Amino acid sequence: MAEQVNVRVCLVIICLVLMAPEGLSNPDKFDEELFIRPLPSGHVYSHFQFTTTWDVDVHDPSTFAHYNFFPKSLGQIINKYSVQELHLSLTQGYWRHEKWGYPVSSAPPGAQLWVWFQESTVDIEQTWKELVNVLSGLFCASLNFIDGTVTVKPQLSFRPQGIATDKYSINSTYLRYATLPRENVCTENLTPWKKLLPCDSKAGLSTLLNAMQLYNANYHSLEVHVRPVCANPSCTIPALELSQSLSVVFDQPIREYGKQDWSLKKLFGRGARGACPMASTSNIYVDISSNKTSNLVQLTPEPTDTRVVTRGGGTSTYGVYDLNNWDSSNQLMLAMKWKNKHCYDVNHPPQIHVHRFITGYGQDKGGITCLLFNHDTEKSQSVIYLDTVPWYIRLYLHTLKITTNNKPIKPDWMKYIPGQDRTRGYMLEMVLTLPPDSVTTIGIDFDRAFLKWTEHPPDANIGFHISSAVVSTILQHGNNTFSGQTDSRLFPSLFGSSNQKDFFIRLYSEILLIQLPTPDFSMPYNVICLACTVVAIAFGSLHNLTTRSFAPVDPNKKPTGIKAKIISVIKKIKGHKPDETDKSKNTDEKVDNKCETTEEVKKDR
Amino acid sequence: MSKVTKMSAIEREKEDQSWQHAYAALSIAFLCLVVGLPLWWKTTTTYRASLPDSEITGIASLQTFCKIPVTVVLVGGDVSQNNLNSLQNHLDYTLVSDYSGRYSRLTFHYAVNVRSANKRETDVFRLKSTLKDLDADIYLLDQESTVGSSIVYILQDYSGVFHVSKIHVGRYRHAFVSGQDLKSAAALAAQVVKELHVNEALAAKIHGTAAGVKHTEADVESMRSVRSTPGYELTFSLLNPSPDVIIAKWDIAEGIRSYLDPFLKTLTEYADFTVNSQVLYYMGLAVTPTKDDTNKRYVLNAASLPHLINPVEAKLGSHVSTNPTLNFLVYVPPPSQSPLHILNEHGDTVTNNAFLSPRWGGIMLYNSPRDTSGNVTLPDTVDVDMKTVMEVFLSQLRLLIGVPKQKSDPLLTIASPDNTGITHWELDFLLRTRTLENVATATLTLSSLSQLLGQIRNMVIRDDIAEQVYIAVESIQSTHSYLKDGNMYRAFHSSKRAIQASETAFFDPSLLELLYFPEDQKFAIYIPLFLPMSIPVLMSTVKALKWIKSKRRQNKRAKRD
Repeated sequence: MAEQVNVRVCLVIICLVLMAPEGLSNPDKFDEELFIRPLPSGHVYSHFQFTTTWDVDVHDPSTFAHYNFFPKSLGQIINKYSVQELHLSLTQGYWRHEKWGYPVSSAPPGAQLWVWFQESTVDIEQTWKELVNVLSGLFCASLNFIDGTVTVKPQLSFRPQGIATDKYSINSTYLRYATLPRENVCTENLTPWKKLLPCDSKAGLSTLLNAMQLYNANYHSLEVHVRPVCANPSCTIPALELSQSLSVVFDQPIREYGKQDWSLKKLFGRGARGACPMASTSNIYVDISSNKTSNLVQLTPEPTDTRVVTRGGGTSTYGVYDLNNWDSSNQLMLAMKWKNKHCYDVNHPPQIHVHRFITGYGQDKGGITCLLFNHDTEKSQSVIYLDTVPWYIRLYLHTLKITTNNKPIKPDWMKYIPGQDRTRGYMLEMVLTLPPDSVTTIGIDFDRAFLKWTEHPPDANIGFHISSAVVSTILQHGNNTFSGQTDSRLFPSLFGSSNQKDFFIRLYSEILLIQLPTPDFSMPYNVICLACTVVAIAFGSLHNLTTRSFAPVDPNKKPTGIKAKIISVIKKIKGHKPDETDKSKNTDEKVDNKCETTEEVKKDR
Repeated sequence: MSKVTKMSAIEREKEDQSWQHAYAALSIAFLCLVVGLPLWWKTTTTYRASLPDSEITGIASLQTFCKIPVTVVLVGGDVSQNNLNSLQNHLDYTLVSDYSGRYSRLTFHYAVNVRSANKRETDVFRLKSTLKDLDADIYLLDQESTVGSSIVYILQDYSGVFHVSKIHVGRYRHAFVSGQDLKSAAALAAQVVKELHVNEALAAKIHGTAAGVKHTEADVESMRSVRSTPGYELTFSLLNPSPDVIIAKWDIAEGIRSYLDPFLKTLTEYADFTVNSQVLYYMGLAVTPTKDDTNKRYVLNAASLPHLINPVEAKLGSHVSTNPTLNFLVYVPPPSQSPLHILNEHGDTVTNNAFLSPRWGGIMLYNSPRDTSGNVTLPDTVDVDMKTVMEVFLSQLRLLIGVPKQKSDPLLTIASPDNTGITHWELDFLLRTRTLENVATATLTLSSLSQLLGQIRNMVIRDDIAEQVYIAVESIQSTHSYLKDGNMYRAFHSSKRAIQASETAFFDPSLLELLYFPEDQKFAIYIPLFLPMSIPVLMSTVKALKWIKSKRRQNKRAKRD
């Protein structure tokens, strides 16, 4: 049964037939694009995309010698570690699907890396280990913390996106997927990312990438995607495509006194100053579909072209600005102005979205619950759900409960890899069918493990992050998605065509934060001291019992020894003469003490 | 009476108890000593595999004998045995190392073999008319030419035919010296071998530097090349500071194939080379060139050249290799700053418009060959001529990997290398100096490692590190013996192995694991356990011993009584 479902899922997942839009002209091609969409929530979403295509065969190492537009630093890494496909994202903030809809390219909070290695790779584990360290250096990110405990090999969720044989793309032994939800993203990641662009940030759209503005946003995501593609329509010439994208979401009504107005200057601090000279296309696309009569929008200057796309049951209109034909002597001060203040309308969540949280209380047990919403009123939806959990959150499969509208359902297919302490995390991958207009709840319980004191991260009291759950699916109504033909990542292709029927999307849930029992970190020394004292006391008394005996002391005998001498000296200093009155006073006590006062019997006596 | 017996019974009982106590105290002390102490020692001691310390000290004080087989062939004229003997005598006197023990523990020993030209050689000399043909044909017949050897032909008759001024150094391992007078010919032969083929001065200096000799003044010759590396990354970069107005193109793949590959192919034994290229856009110079109005050009003077490299550095490094990178940049100046020229220290224009940065690479300015009228349609296409560029870079690469610069001498002609870009004797020189350098560096590394491990007692020495050290020691010893036998090829490979093993051992991360574990922390952990336990054990042991002693004395007294 599982096999059957597997085949179905394979069909559901993107099966790639690649065709290049143009014939072969230049071994290197560079395109830069910026897409801006005002979101219904009042936010403004901007997505930069820089695509470099290089006619090189990933399987032939000798061709990786002479670089032009393609960055040498990345090309050498792909070649040395025999990478077939590489997808890296570094994200700050969480993309709110229910408010913002679907992004051009989705990414979980923190760092995410998934790599398909070539079939010829000898030792994938070792190569993966070296690759993450090298990428860590290249992008100034803590990717070196990716190790066996966070790496998984999902079977269905992440399939090759470039050209690959069918046999290869279902063999997940070549895939490595890892996330670091705790990773912070900032300018130190942006600078090396910009260095990979042929124009750096000296010309073209990349001049808008101003770190001061970009990191003052609600959501920020840097991505790098490398995949093999075809350079010509007949697919006889292989090529390598590097797509670098940067998404950023600004909250304009807060800045603009309630209006959603934006301009390039307001968002990025400056206007566009022409195209990068190497770019074959340099376009800005503005989504103007949301123009309502109640709140008129004005776009200045007028777009050089408008593109209307009808597909998947909806129509979108985009204004296009071609910077290659723009007079570079004056800046393009693109601006969009609304007549009235932004009206916070009823939120229309997209067809499928996901929400995940922690249940339970205390520092012993807990649970993870994930809600999958299907708002389609007619069609049920098949989705792939992937959850990866670190080993110290011990999942119990028997507690897995999946209910849809309070009725328990069974997953169509499931793969569960239990974790192992300190070596492997837990992975749960399922195929579920979500009935129309339903909320499906996935719940699973866990125990919190005790960590050794050296296993806690610095600043352990923050807690531990659990990476996002991944939901992948193919929608039938994809008018609000950016899942175009997979031959090209350029926007005209992402906008899609009217005959497109399947729209692949991938959603990421929230990351979770969990408190584990956290020790006081001065503990080790205290424990050493305490344990030593206990051992010393136990040993001391035992030792005393075996080597000494207790016997009564004759009170009349004048005490000799150091102690008695010291006491008599102290008494002399105090000026007290051991006179009669004192003695008579103390007699009663002394009598009482007589039988209790013990002293060790000298062995030599 | 009964009272007395009762008392003695109590006494006896007491005494028995005291015996028991004494035995208990002693057995606890015994257990602590026999079980506790070794257990503690065993569990806290660091694993240290044994190292060949004495052998390391041995190789550190070892003298490096470098035997160089030299064959001197007398061609034409009087080739009688008598004459050969007198030549041998002259050579024995002149062909002696100048550097024995002066710079370091390095001695060159020349094994001279004097003979007359055989029939085939004489034929070649008779038939050929140019030095080039002669050189090539002699090479073809020669069977004695092994790596690291040198052969000098003393032309008694033919010098006029071949226009040998005094000395001609061939492309291979031959040199031709003219001389009717045997004494002066022997002196010239010695000069060729010592100053060119072997280049004693430079070899000794490089060996000395690697062995840790401090030089008081900067030395260009020994600082230029990258030292002791198993390979090089060669990166060629085309810098286009203004892609909006200049379209710069180069056929680097073809350029490398036709100009660089033959050179690298001959050096495959010597080191691994990886070659790649890139084009960098919007990569300007950090220095603004000054305008030279008289010549209608822009100039960069020698003092500002060091500042050019820094801004480019960010895009040059490699993330995948640990070998040193040698960078070769072609900079196409923007129209607003062209033509751009480099001036040397004396203010003269540098003819090839390029400069070299020691241990880093070279930069060449490539002016667009546009017409000077200034009416150029933009964008201007610049097709970089690979021949001019690669010629400059090849000569820079030669210097950067350590081929010495030859001084010009009117009496001396040196055959330029063929398309491989390097002559056989230069390659021999590279192999010899690299061998000496490797062996000196490896020896130095091993002695500092053994010193370090001797000083810091709680460093772990794993078995595999010890194995690397043994391999290094063994390889150094075999390098020495190969050098002594004059077997350059074997010596080079064994020195390579030595340096690899010694570096692996020295830089192994496991050595650092316990390096920063101070003694005071150890005692802070031991004291709470050991102090409260050891004091009572010690005290009771002392007491028990005293009691037993007194009892013995009593017994003795009782016996005597």
